[in-house]
This record gives sequence, C-alpha cells and structure tokens, in this order.
Amino acid sequence: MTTDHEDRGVPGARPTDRGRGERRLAWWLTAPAFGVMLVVTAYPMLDALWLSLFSYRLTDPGGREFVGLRNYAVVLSDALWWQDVWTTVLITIVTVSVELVLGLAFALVMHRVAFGRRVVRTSILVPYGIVTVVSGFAWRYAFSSETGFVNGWLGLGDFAWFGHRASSLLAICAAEIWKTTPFLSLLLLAGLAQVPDELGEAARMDGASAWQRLWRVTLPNMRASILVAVLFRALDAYRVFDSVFVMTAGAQGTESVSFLAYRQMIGRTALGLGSAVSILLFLSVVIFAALFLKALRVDLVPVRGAR
Amino acid sequence: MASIVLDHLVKRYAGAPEPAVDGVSLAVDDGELVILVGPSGCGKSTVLRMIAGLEDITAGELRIDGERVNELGPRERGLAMVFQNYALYPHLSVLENIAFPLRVSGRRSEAEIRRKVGEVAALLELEELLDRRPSQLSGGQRQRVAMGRAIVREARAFLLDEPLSNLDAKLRAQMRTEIARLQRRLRVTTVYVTHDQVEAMTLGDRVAVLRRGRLQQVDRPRDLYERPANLFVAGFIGSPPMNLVPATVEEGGVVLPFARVRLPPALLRRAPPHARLIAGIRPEHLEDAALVGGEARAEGVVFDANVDVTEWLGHEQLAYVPYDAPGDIEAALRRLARELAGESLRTQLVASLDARSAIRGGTTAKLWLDARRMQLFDPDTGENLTRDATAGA
Amino acid sequence: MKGRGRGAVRMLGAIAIVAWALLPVAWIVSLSLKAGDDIQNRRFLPTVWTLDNYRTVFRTPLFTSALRNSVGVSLIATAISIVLATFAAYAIARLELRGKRLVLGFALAVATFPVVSIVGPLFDLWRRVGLYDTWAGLVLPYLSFTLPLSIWVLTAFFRQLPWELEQAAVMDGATRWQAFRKVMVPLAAPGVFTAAILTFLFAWNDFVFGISLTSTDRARNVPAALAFFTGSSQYQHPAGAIAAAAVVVTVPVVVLVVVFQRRIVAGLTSGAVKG
Repeated sequence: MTTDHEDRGVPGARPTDRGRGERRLAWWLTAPAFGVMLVVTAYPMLDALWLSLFSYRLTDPGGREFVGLRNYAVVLSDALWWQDVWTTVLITIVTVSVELVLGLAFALVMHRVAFGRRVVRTSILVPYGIVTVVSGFAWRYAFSSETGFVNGWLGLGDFAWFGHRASSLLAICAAEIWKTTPFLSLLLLAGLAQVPDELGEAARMDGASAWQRLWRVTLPNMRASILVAVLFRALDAYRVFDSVFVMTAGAQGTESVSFLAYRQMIGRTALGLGSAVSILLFLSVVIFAALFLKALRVDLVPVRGAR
Repeated sequence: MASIVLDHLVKRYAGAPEPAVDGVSLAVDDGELVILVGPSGCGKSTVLRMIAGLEDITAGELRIDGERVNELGPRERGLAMVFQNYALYPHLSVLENIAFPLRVSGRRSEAEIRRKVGEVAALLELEELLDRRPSQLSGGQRQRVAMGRAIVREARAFLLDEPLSNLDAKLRAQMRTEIARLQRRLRVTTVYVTHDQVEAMTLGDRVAVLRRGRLQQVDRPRDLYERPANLFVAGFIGSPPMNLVPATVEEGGVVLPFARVRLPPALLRRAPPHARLIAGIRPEHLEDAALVGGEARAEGVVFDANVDVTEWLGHEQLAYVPYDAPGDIEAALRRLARELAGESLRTQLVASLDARSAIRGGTTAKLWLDARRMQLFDPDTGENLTRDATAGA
Repeated sequence: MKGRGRGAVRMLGAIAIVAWALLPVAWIVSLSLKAGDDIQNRRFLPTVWTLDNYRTVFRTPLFTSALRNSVGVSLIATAISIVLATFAAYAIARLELRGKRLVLGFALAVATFPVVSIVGPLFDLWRRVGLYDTWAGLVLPYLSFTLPLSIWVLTAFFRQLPWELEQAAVMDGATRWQAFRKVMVPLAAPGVFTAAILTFLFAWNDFVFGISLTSTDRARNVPAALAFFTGSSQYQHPAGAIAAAAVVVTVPVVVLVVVFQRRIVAGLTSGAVKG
C-alpha cells in the first residue's frame, strides 16, 4: 500500500516544507494511539516474558528465583497443558466450521430477503452485542439439568450436560456459536454484496443451477472475505475464556488455554508458571496466524470489511 | 437457430405509474439481426432481459420457434447473452470462462469440452490468451471472451446488451465490423440492444426504435432514415440530427422562419391550411448555394442565412444558423429535444456543407434547401405526414 | 414462477434467523421473571410471573455499584478511545505517514492478542502503581484493545469521504480550521459515531479485565459482578437474580442495536452493506 497521494490541503506552502510538516503532524496524531496500544500490550508482554523466567509466587515474593526456561519445560511436559490445547483446538474447529456454514446460510438469506430486512439485521446484532457472560449464563441455565429447558425439549430427562466432558464441550460450543455467528454472517454478507450481480445472471444464462452458481461462481469470488472471516474467528475462538469460566469453570476437562493461564496467574498467583503459559498462548496464536496467512496468501491490510 | 416473437409484451414494476414496457410486438426471423435502439430508460434492456428470462413478463406472450416460453427459466430457453460489462468470471481463466456453460451442463466429456473451446478460441483469435485471467485482458479481448462464452453453447439465439458501450471509440468501430462478420458467418438469430444510433444503423437487418416502453417503428435502417414514422424517430436517427423547424401552411406551401417552400399537391392535401406543422430537414439537404448547379437549384429554395459558427471537419463543413421560432412550437420542440439529447437545444439550423464551401462563421450567406427531401410532421401527434402521403406513390 | 417459491423459502429463513437470535434472550428474560423455586420448573416459561428478582437485584449494592462502574468506565474509555482513534485514522487515511502499514498491522496484531496473556503482568503492575481496583486501571486496557477496531473502522470511513470539499471550502474563503469544522466534521460524524458504538459495546462486554484487575465494588464491572452473585439469600438459587441482572445489563445493548443497526452494520462491513 503506497502512501495516499490525495488532496493535500491549502495550496501555497512549498512542497518540501509541506511534506515534512505533514509527516510530523501525522506522527503526532498517531503517536498517542500507538503509544497506548504499545504500553498496555507490549510492556506487560515483555514483563510476562521476564516473569516467565522466574519461579515466582505472589504469595511468596521473597522466594523468587531465576530458573531460566524451566517453567516452559514444566508446562510443555504437563499433560494438562496438552489436554487444554487439544480442548481449545477442538472448540475452535467445531465452532468455526459450524459458524462458517451457518453464517453463509444467514448471509445468503439476508442478501436477498426483501421484507423485514431491518428486523433480521437488528436481531442478529443482539447476540453480537450481548455481554458474553450473559450469554454464558443463559446457555448454562438452559442446559442445566436443574433449571434448563433443553432436556425438556429434547426429551432427555435428567441428563446432566455438565457432568460429562463431551456434553459440556457441546454446550460451550453452542453458546459460542450462538453468540458469534452473527458477526461472521455480517462479514460474509459484505463479501457476498461485493460479488457483482451480473456474474450470477451470466451463470444463469449459461445454464447453471442455483447450487452450481453458489459453488462455482459466488463462493470462489468471496474467497478473500471468507478467509479473513475464518482467520479472525479462529483466532477469537482459540482465545475462548468467558464462556468456559461461566459455564463450567474449566471442570470436566473443558478448560481452555486462556482459562489455564488465568487460573495460574490469578487463581494460584503462580506468576512465573502462569507467565510461561501466557507466553506460550501468545506464541501459538502468532504462529497460527502466520501459518494461515502464509498458506493462503491473503493480504490483510487492503481488504475491506475486516475487523 | 430460432425465430423469436414478442407478442404485446408488457412489463410493470410494482409502484411505478407507467409500465416500463408497454405492449411491444416484434417478430425476429431465424438468422436475422434485429437491433433495439432508443434513449436511456426507453425499456430496451428490459425487453432484452424479458426475452432472456431474467425478468418476469407481466403480460403478453413470448414465443421462441413458435412455443410459448413465458414460464421457462433462462436455462430452459436455450439463449445466450453477452452483458454490457461482459460478466466474465474473474476467478477463472479464459479457457474456463468459455468452458463454463459446457461444464455446467454436465453432459459433455472433458475431451469434447476442450475441442469445442478450441474451435471457438480459433474463431475469435483467443488461442494465445486461454490461460490468462480476465483482469489481464484488454477491453476488446474481454469482449471477445464474452462472445466466445455465448457462441460455445450453440444457443438458439444471441442476446447482446450494449456490448460495445464500454470500449473506446476506435475499438468500437473495429468491433462493430467484427460482430457483423461473425453474425453473418454463424447466421444466428440475434437481438442487439444499443443506445448508439450509429451502431443501430450499421449493424441491423432491421432496427426497432423504442421510446418510453413503446415501439415507434421497426424497419430497415434505410427506411428509418429516409421515411421516419414520427418526430421522435426522425430526431433520434441521424447524426447530426435532423433539423426540426416550425412551418406554417400557406397558399400552396409552407412558411419557414427563413424561407418559403412550395409543396407538391399530394402533400398539400394532407396539410390543412394555416396549420402549424414541423418541418424536418436533414443537415445534408442544405448546401452552399454557390456550389449548387442550375437544374438542382430549381428543385429547391435559396435563402439568406446568418451563419453563426462553422466547423470544418475535413470531409464536410457544418454551419450553424440560429433563427427565431414562435412560442408554442418552441415548447414542443424543446420537450422533444430533451428526450432525444438530454438538453435543450437552441433553435438553430445545422447544415452539412461541402468541404469546399467558402462560407465562414459570423457572415450572411446564401444557402440552398432541397425541398424534395423535406418532411412534414404534425406537432401534436408527431406523425410524419410526408411519409403517409407518398406511401401510395 | 420459481421466483416466488424462492421468496417464500427466504422468508422462512429470515424468520428462523430471528427466532434463533432471540431465543436465548427470551430465555434469560423468562428466567428473570421466575420466582424462587420456579427456577427449577425446567420449562421455558415461568408458571408465575414476578418481578421479585429485579427488586432483589436493585437492592444489592454489589450489582448497583457494578452497574455504576460499568457505565462510567465504558463511557470514559469510549470517549478517550474515539478521540485517539480519530486522530490516528485521520493521519493514516489522509496524510503521508511513514510506516502506515506498520501501524495498521500493529493494530491488527493487538486485536488478535490473547488478552489473558497480559492479565497477570498487568495485575502485578497495577498493584505496584496503585491502579489496581480503580476505574483508570480498567480504562487503560480498554483503550488499548478498542483502538484497533476503531482505527480500522474510521480509516476505512475516512478514505471514502470527499475531501475535495475541504479544498472547495478553502477556495471559497474559509480558513483551514473553518473548513475542517464546518464541512468535514459533519461528514465524519456518522463514522465516528459508529466507531463509538462498537467501542462502547466492547467495553461494556469486558469480563477478563473485570475479574482480574478489580477486587471490590469500587471498580468491579457488571460481567465480573455477575460471576460473584449469590442472590438474596443463601437458600435461593441465584439464577433468578443473575438472570435479572443479566437482563438489566442487556437492555442498553438492545437499545443501541435497535436504534443504530444500520450504522453498526455499515461499520462492521466497511460500508459494503447498505441500509
């Protein structure tokens, strides 16, 4: 992306002065935002990196000692860590796949529906805007064998959803899917809206059925939007925390990596270990994103509609 | 190959006071190229899309090869369409674009598909470009790919929606002849929509002029030009457009703002005395009087003209002669002008003079009007009175 | 014709979407209207409707103070975030800035940051600096994580504005400042408004920072408070009270969404999807 050589403002100043003055102004304008972001993310991150090299419990500050990479060794050799990673990956894969299909279906409906367009759009923004914790509670109580209606509706009697790992995960996935499909469907709708109508008409003239049109013309032309949407959702899903906290508090093997980090840091105030987990979490997100972008050759910055 | 018959087709959009297409009837013969022409908003694209099946038909019947097809979708009608913006699939190569209709039908083998695409590519000289993407092609190349996609299907008829309007002027002229050659070679029934009357005149076997959803005239280009059915067609066809001048009938002739012209008896019979009419004079029917020889001179009228501006174009010279017109006629003319050209024209004569003429702007000169070619129109109905009068002759 | 059939299917789809979206909301409202033991009736609707839970909730200082905290912190964070984001977006969209790509890329990186990773060190840092359990202690992280989205939305928006109007105003005799204030600001307002709404929703929603960086009702926000709710008495299942609290905290969201639906959708899709 080259610098925007658009309107430059009042004519009269000499070009070189203006250019320099502009750059300075630009710098001054972005510095605060940049600074805040840097301070609140980079500094703690570096601090976490530092802390992870120590065995450090907040309750015992005197006992802080430098242990190098031992914390990492401890984490990476812990079965719990790997179980949590697997859990998180599972949740990510399940939710993103379902959301993609559902989101696409929603986008297709929203794209063409004539009446009630406003109503549909407004209602899908409700899950988007609703507090995640509220959604967590709603679904928790819905699935609960004591208070919920899910058992009643599905005829499952007294099934304790939160008593088993698989069903707990399913409940968590349900909550996540409900909450974030709307956002995904909006991103997909944007991508869909950018596919020219004419292509669909040409395909109709060429004899393609509705299904063929979808597969061969519409979806391929939405590739960029779909990939960006999947990337953001996957990164989001990997960081799942609120729903896990509220619905199961990590019980029954539903703990996610973020939850593990939290538990270590805040719950157990084991800052050293917790920091190691945090760093590993951060690294895994970065690696995943990098691999994704590399593999699919998606250019993020000029793409519109990205979060 | 097929014949297409439009039988009183009507298209009404919900909430619109007037129908977009109002009872258009047209018969396109097998192998014929018919052009739909008219100013923007006249409904020509709508008619085309109704034929294609992309728009529902509100009333009337559409028959292809004698069968009614109103209820059939685009797939079943067996027609091919070339869109104004070509609608090439950006994610597919040229080869795949052309192959698309064949792949989608699922009834051809891979070998057959490759063969057919090869044939079409050869026909349109696209062989070198088969691996490229549409974004890597020039405007003319894209247009050919769009045509290729239509041709490969061996459809019953082609529908072309302003296929040349996105090309620059020079390319347009080139592609025009290419299309004409192609159509003649393939002998495919073709319906072609354009707003450019030059394209209409040069390409069509027959041309249908539309105005606000209604058919004005369907004829061979020559007939449209020499015997327009009404004021609208007269003003629309021809460039520079026909001069439309107020004329009052008086004593065996008409009085124009700048001259008196005698009329033949047949015409006089149709023109009530003292009637206010509109005379139509094509720019090429005016000439520098100095260059007109004796015999021809007698057939026309010589008059003095205040030449305002001249434009020398190399093969001809245009002279602009302003004049005053009476109020009521002027209002009618201005309305018409707005429809045709989108702006109010001044009341001025445009004369197309021989390039050798010495007339210059800002002078008074003697111009000659060929009275034999003048047409008379009824200002209220727009009817061409001359045409009717000479029809029998 | 086939078209009509397709239309009906779409209508059904639309209805299904609306039902799907609002079902859990209806559920939590229903829960909040169930009295004491009714909570365990295991049915969707209450057998008896009551507003008891709401009364309880508003009498609980834990909740009311949390509500106050949430409102205060969210508004402040939104205001500051928007100002900073507007400046940055203006610079990115309009001026020559070296490393534009870097800034946008960095913003993107922050947006995908696993927040939990910095919660620990931030907890430590805030304690040392005295920002633990304060409004400022929450506002700062909120700023940091809402800036990326705001900058994205605003940059995209600013790029589409007709900046030549500013020049035209100057040619018409206005000073640069006047041109900016009278011409560009009104044009930019919708975009800024949208970014503000999205930012507010984020701040309102926060849970991680809420539970990690606060410990008393001095600064604890509603989502965090919800997690510690126990209801009006030990014997009562807190579900009803929690549900009531949840509904109260959802009302502003619903209002915002209903009133500003078009803006939000436009902002999220960078204007690709209109009205």
